[in-house]
Amino acid sequence: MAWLRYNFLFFGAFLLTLTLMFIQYKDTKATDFQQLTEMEKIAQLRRMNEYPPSAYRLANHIEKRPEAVIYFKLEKNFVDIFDFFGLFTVYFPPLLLPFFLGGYFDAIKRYPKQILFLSALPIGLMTIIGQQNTKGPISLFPIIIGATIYGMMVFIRWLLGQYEN
Amino acid sequence: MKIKLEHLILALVVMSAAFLYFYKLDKIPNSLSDDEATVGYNAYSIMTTGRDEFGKPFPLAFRFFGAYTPPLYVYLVIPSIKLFGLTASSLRVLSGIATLVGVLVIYRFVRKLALFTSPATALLAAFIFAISPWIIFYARIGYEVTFGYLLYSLGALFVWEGLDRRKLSMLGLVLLSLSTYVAHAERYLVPLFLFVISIFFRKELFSKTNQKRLLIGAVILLLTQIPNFFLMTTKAFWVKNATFDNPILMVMVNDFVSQLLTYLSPRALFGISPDINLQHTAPEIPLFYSWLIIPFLIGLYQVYLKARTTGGKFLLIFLLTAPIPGAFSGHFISIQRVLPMIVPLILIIALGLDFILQRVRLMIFLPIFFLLTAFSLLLFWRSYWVLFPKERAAYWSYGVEQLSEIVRSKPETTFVIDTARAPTTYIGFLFYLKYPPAEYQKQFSPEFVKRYYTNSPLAGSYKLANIELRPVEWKRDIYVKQILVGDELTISSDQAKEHFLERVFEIKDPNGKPILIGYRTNPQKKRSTRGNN
Repeated sequence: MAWLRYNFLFFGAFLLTLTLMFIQYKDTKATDFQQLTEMEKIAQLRRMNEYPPSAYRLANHIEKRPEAVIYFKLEKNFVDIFDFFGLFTVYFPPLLLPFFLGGYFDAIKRYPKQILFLSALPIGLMTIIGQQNTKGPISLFPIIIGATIYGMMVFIRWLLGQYEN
Repeated sequence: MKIKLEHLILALVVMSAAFLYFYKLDKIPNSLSDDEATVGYNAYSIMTTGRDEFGKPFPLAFRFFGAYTPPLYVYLVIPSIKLFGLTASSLRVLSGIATLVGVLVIYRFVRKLALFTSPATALLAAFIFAISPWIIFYARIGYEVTFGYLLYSLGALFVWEGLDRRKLSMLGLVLLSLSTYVAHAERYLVPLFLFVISIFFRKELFSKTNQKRLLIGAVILLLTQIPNFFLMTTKAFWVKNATFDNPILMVMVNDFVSQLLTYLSPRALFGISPDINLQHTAPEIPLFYSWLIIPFLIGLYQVYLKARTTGGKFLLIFLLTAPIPGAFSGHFISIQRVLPMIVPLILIIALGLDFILQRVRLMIFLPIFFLLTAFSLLLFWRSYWVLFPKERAAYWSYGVEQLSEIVRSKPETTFVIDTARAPTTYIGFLFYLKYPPAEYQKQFSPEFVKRYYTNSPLAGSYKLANIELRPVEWKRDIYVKQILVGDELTISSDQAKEHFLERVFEIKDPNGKPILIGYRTNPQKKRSTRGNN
């Protein structure tokens, strides 16, 4: 963590991300890994009956075991975070996506630990609690906005012929 | 002759792929979709009469359900129908064979793209391609989209191999040109891809040493595109571009960008499929196994780092042009319109795996990789072999084959089959009954055939021997002695009671839910009660 102390910008972004993570945590109806909803229970039962009788034990492992239920919920929460369509149509204009990607990758090239750390925090939180909330994935916004602005700066420098690899 | 270990492993990958693509090909999917049936019946019709279902001799684009489809796949399945008969496997086998070639295309791409460092990456990429759900699903279908994207990818591979030597590949151009006759996406994609390549690789292509090749290439393209030039003058060419129909520019751009973002979104590729047409996917499995999102994201970063190399530039063009025809094809997301994305996406994933292989020892990497693969294949088995035949049967026109058997066994009885909500099912009956094409073609006038490419309206009701395919007309049909067939929405139990309809058969889906019910009418009793009222 020593690098944080020496880097005001990233420390500020870290604090902002932490604050927004807290707000998002408060705003989110966290994924229940223990309980299934009524709809989920019906689907689970239907699926169990769709297996051939010879595969009943396997069906039990895949559909019913708590570990399997937790795995499927975690997997869904994790992949749902990478929703470019939702992020860049609902929360940000689509035009910013190329700047975000360019800025993000360029920033990773220059400050890999900081950027990956700032990205991993909200991703980790959202993988665990899900995205059932009213404010959206706000804890991702500092990294998205920061990378987008950085991407624009890189683009302008590239236009002016001042960009160096 | 010494066999290299690498080639032996590649042969094993191809054999595993062959098992996944051909095992129980006639049983799963457990019915023939209307898209497959129309390809099969038109190929059968061409084979036996030299004309398509409407009586058009050797069309340049086949009229399928009111739209037009490039013709090559229909012509190519004729030999397998001749050999194996008019069956589901005959139609599907060509997609499987093309996908097996696709495994080799991936292997070769990784070897030749000059972006990869680990010798194991090519094999891993070929293996990932071979076992991915999106690829297996489309390797087992009997219509043109799979063959189209693989012919396009093979053409792109040869174009790249030529570019790498600063030459224009004639074989690559021929294959790309041919792919425009297989599926809609390639028809728009090939000119776009070649245009972008010619801009970004202008130094390589337009050098003095290439002038003769450029001239020959242009002649090849012009000659092979003559049928398309002819079609361009008709309505038959300009299909699957619904986004351009919108008169408001901003709405059109918005629609296009939204679709493009959806197709390129990792969530759509590694999570929930955005395609609402349940015929296009298997349940509870993403297009690519979800753990591959990690090498994919690393791969994207690697492409960014290598974007200025010729290989990186080529890969970016290959990836970014691929979803464009799909994004302007219509208002709904359809993953089968962006199949050309598959090969560049696998190459991106391979870049990520290559990066990991540089940092992790093979002895540590391989056990983790195979553990994840085994788990993924278990989930695929669950999705495709267990859930798919039960949950998606209705979207694959399940029941038409069984109903055709019933109809065939009662030649003296008239059947009215309701098509109000499924107007394309007629083709399944033509297919399963092997209805003589020459007989069916008699329904269409010479004038209709003459105006074949003008998209003239179709009747929407069909008569084949003892079957009438049309919406049920309650005022008339209950006073004629016949069997009415429909689902529970067509004929409710109250209606059956009211009109004295006797339930004579029931066809259930694999989950035991009735999907087609046959009712015998009782005109005498109906007339007598009407008299009493």
